[in-house]
Amino acid sequence: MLSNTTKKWNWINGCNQMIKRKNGITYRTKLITFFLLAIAITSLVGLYNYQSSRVLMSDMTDMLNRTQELTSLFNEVDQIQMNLEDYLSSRSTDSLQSFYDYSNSISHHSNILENTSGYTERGIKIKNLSGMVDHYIKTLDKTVIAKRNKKIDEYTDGYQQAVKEHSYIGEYIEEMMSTDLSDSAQKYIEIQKEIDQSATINYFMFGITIILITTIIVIFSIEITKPISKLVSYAMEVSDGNFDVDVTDEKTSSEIKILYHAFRGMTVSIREYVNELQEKQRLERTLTDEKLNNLKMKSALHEAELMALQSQVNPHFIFNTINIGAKVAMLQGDNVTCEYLENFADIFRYNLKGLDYNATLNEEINNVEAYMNLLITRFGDMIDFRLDFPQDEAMRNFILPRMTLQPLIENAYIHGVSKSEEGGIIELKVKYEGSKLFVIISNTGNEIPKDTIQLILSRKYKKKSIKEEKGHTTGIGIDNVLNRLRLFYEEKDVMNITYSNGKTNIILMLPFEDTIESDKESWENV
Amino acid sequence: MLKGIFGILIGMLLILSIMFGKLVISTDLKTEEKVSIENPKHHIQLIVQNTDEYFWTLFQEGAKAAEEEFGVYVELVTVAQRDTDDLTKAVEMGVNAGVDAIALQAADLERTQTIIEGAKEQGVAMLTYESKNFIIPSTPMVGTNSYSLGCTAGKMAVEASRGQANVAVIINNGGNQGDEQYKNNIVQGIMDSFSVYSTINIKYIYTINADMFEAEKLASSIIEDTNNVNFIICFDERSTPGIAQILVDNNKVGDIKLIGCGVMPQTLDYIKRGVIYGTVCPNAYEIGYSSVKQLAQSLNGEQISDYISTKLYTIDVNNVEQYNQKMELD
Repeated sequence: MLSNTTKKWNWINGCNQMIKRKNGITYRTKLITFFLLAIAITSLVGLYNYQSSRVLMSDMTDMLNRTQELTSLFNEVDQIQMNLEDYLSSRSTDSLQSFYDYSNSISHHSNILENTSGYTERGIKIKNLSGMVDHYIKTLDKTVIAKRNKKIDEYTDGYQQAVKEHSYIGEYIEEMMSTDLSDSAQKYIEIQKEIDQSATINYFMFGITIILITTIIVIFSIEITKPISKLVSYAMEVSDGNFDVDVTDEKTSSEIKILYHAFRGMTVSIREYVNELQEKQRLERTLTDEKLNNLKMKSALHEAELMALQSQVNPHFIFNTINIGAKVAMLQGDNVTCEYLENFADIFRYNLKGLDYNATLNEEINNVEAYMNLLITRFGDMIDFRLDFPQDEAMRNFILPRMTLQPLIENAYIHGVSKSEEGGIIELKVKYEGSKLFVIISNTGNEIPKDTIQLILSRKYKKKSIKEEKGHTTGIGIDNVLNRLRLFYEEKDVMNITYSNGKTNIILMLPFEDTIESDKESWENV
Repeated sequence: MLKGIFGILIGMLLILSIMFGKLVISTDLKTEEKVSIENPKHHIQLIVQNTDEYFWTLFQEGAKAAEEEFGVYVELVTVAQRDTDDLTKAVEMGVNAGVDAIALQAADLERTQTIIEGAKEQGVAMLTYESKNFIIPSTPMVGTNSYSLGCTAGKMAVEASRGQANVAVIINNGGNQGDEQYKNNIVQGIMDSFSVYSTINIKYIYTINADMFEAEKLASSIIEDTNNVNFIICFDERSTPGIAQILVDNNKVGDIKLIGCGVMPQTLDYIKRGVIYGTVCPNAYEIGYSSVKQLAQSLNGEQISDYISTKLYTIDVNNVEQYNQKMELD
């Protein structure tokens, strides 16, 4: 659980690092940048056009305002001149009142104009005009006063001076308006020319921007949908069970790269998980098989022991009786009976040790010889037993399950030699070839059908009833022997049955290795 | 490809930003009128002639240089050439406007004197400049010394004729007693230049009025009637090209040499072509500068000189190209 969380964190960190890589600009960044640029460009074009029109309008408005100011002033000057003339000719109070009203108004306007003007080319003209207007008003005042005082010469001169100054002011204002108009027109033309040039460039760039925006939208659409479509096809393959799908990277933004990276990681994780499950399942099956084998082995042992016990009806009593019988026979000088009973006692003693203990090949062969002596004593020349057992220490000490050979010899007698009235030959041959120790038990007699041989070798061990094993001394049949050998050596091919030259051969092919000794302990502990 | 498109977009954004910034800045610059000087101490009017002669360009440069130096505002008021009525009106308007000082080039003696007296009564400081032939009493003056003018022209005539010539002198006429002094000074200057040579003499001295074609008529009569005159010195700037044209028309180029006055383009062209030997020019920059300086100092209550004599320079075929190039550069 902890390792899975760590893996996830590592993966997330990996993704974050990938986002931070230089070539991994996210779609979000790209789209935001693109839209901001597009907005900025269109806004600037709009602002430029707005500013251009504002400049032109402002210039024209300024000129009109200036003209309006001058015109207004001159109108007032005209009015006051008329009032003066009225007053000089009629001495009317109304004209005098109007004269003073205009005088105040003109002085006020003149002051405003002067205060708002600086020492620029136009500003100095405004100052001049203001000075001229002030001088004119003073001249008018003097003239009016002269008129009031009835000084004819003075107000006549004053009037002439006023007319002249009025004319100067008019000319000066006209000249200023003309200059303003000329300057404004010149400026307007210059600005308009510049704006026209810039507007052409502006609209050209605006057109390019529209084309680029369209191109970028198309590219983004393709860039986003193409890798997703490809990923969909990968997902379909994975959903069909193909976890080995080769997810190739797309040269695109980091979100898609992360998606691909995650998808690839997911398929690898699923594949690993499935493999783990399969391995677990295999191990569980192996464990179950082993458990089953152990159970089978235990079952076979218990069955063999049961059979052996069932065949031992009070074995100690029988064994003691036989020994006493043998001693009685020896005391009476009946050597044959004595030997017979001693052989029987040996077999019985060998049997009494039980199947839990293994035996050497030498012990097994001694047991077989005792058994065969019994049979030979019983049936005389009908049975010919031939033993080929090399005097090899390794072979003689070879370990094998107890009661392996005797049931097979007995089997050879019961199903082979005993079927013939003339008797037969039973042979036991031991030899070593390669890494195998061959123990061959042959007997004359009828051929065992091949189907039967196949059935014996291939069928699984099956517990048989006591009745079926009837006739065997130990009650242990060929099935039991085969099963125990397979379990002991953990090999299947430990026995073969052939028929050649009128003989049935049971061939034991036992692994002849030093490790057998070590396995002996584990076998004994089962 | 995306990188390229983004690059183009950013580039366009930059260009648009620069254009927009330029529009705003240029608008501000256009809107704001140029202030030549902040809070000047005095307002001085210079009444100048409404011509495109180079003299006035230099004169204006000199005046503007003095404006900055002495902290006064200099206003240039244009009038038609030597029109006394216009001059009177300009002065009266200036006086009414309340300017502190006016500098003018006198168009005549009597009326100009009246105008100046009237302005002075209104408390306006007055000065005349380059008024060689109209010297207004009690009024400071800046300009070329008429004796120096005669001397310089005489030296040039000696150089041109190698000391052997019969010279006719043409002087413009102010029409009053001031003119006599001006004429005498010029003639005295010429004679002093000729004094070391016995073979160069003034044969005739003519005075002309303001009439444009009077000098041409006079030149024709000199050519036709007095065959012994082979050198003309004309001290009227506007008449110099006309006399040169008469020499060309009568095929007398080379036979009669001409020295003129002023730097009218036609005069310079005739010098380049070899019709006019050379011309004597007042230093317009110095005249403009000194006029403003004199008035500013006077308004500040300082004692000023009644007359500031400015330098003269000559133009002949050797330096006419150099002068033209300098004019083009300026």
